[in-house]
Amino acid sequence: MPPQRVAFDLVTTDQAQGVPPVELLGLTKRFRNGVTAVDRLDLRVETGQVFGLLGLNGAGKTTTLRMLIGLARPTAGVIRIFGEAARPGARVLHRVGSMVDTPGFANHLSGRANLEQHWVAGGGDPASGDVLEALRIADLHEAAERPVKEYSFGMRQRLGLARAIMGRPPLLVLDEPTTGLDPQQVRHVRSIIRQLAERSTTILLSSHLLAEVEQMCSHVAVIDAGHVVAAGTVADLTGSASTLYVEVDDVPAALLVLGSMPGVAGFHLEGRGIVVELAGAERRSVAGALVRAGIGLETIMSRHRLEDAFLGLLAEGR
Amino acid sequence: MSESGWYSHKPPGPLLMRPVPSSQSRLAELRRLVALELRTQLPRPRTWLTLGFAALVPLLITAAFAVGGAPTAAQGASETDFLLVATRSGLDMPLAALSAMAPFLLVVLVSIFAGETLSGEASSGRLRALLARPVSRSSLLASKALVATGLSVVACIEVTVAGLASGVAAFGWHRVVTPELVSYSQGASLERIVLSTGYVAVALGGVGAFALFVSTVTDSVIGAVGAGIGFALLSEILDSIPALGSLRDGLPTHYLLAWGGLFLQPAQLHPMLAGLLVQVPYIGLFSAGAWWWFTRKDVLS
Repeated sequence: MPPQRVAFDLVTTDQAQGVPPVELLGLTKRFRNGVTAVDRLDLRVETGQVFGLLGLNGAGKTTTLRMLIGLARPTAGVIRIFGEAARPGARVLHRVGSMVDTPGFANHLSGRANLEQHWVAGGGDPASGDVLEALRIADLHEAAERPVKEYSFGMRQRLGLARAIMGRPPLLVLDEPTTGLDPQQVRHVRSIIRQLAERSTTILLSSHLLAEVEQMCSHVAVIDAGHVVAAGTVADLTGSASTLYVEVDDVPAALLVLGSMPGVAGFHLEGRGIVVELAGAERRSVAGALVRAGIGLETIMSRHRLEDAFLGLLAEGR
Repeated sequence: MSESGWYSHKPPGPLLMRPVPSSQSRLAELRRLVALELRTQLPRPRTWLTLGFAALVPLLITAAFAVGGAPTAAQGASETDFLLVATRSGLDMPLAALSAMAPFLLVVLVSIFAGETLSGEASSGRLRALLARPVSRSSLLASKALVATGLSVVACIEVTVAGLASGVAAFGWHRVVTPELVSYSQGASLERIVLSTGYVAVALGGVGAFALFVSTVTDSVIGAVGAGIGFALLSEILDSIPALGSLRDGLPTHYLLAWGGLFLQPAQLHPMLAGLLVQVPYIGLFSAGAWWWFTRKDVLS
């Protein structure tokens, strides 16, 4: 279930002019070893969206986010944050909170001291109350004075999230924010993200979990090999089923049946099964035709476009 | 774990924009980052252990000499070494400690301070959080280098001060007698001791700059610290090969003990001057290399 989008009267010059918080044009990153991690990637995140980057490990999600927040330089392409060209150390990064990869801290210092240092390093006022607010949101105010080396993995992750949301940045960039957390902590982190989203924070997050993106995001882009292979609102992409996935005991015979069926636009093999693109035919008519031809039907599932795009990647065995 | 609405006490409405600090000069940014780096390094147990060690070793040397006497030339001490005369006056002790510690122990301490700077931040994962802020990488590197330099200088001063205090306590406040058996008044030798300490601190600069450079390249603290130590050891090994002749004059550690010239009669300042000049290209080259690399680096760790 995507979060309810609440329209607030957040009036800034950016919105008045319709400047998107994130705009990536032809973004490319080629590493020195010749690997192209991100390949002419285009992406536009509008104000108030919770935008999910969905892809497998190595698809280029993290590299894209790292370039966005100035940790790495693109080989080619344009990055704009709130309309300003972004580069390492750019002033516009004041308006971005981020957590990329497992968060790191000065382990001998307390959680509060770590956040304060981070806040002051970027020019923030340590007395502004933002540090305590962030600790409270992450439910760490009771552990605030303990050194970070005593924190559990989940607490460190939440401290990383607190560091990202300190000062309520209008844009939040989170790389796999729930990875490695137990279910209760996942729920907590998602609830924080949802509440920020309800307060008009624009959020760009990456995930390799289809369900997570479906649950948390309003918009999604599926990324593979550094490209966007599908993009749109989650509602669009999870709307009417457009394809079927079937597993049968006699694949060649099934392909013959499908090839002569009206209402079937096409089909291709995917892993152990067949993906059938529907153009008028319904699930039960396809199932009926296969059964009538004496083919054993082991699995038949409807799929929407998001699953299609994402599970198609999984089936390619990467 | 609370899941209640953390924001509920505030009225719905526009989010505050994240406060953007007033436009700051590079110098203000640098000062802020240096203060932060001090606040990170000073509470760190490792800093205190390292600095404590720098003060402890001269005390141990003094104690050993007080019990067993100073080494003699027959025991392998070189004829110009202050260790020979360490027990003659408390004022000889800091010089003995400097000459004993500079070639290895101070090299190690400087390598630790300089090598840990950025590799430590990278391996802890804090670097990527720091660099995602609107912070100039040049300022960040400069703040790290300044604090590492400061800690290194403190370590050198500690050696002298600990040597002096323990030496005076054990062997008294007498005129300094040099290994060449020249004698100086207490005041004149104190001046020379201060100069010698400062000289050693500068003469270790090349090693520190190298460790700093490696620290920007690798995420491994051990690697960067080890590189600094290895660099100094290599220089000292090459320095001990007579066949290399005057090539050795260009080695970063060749003039590490040249402050001894201050205590000759007449004083020989030329080797010290050469020692300072030799550091210029090493410090310049490796600092520039560190800056070039760090400001262009992709932070992927």
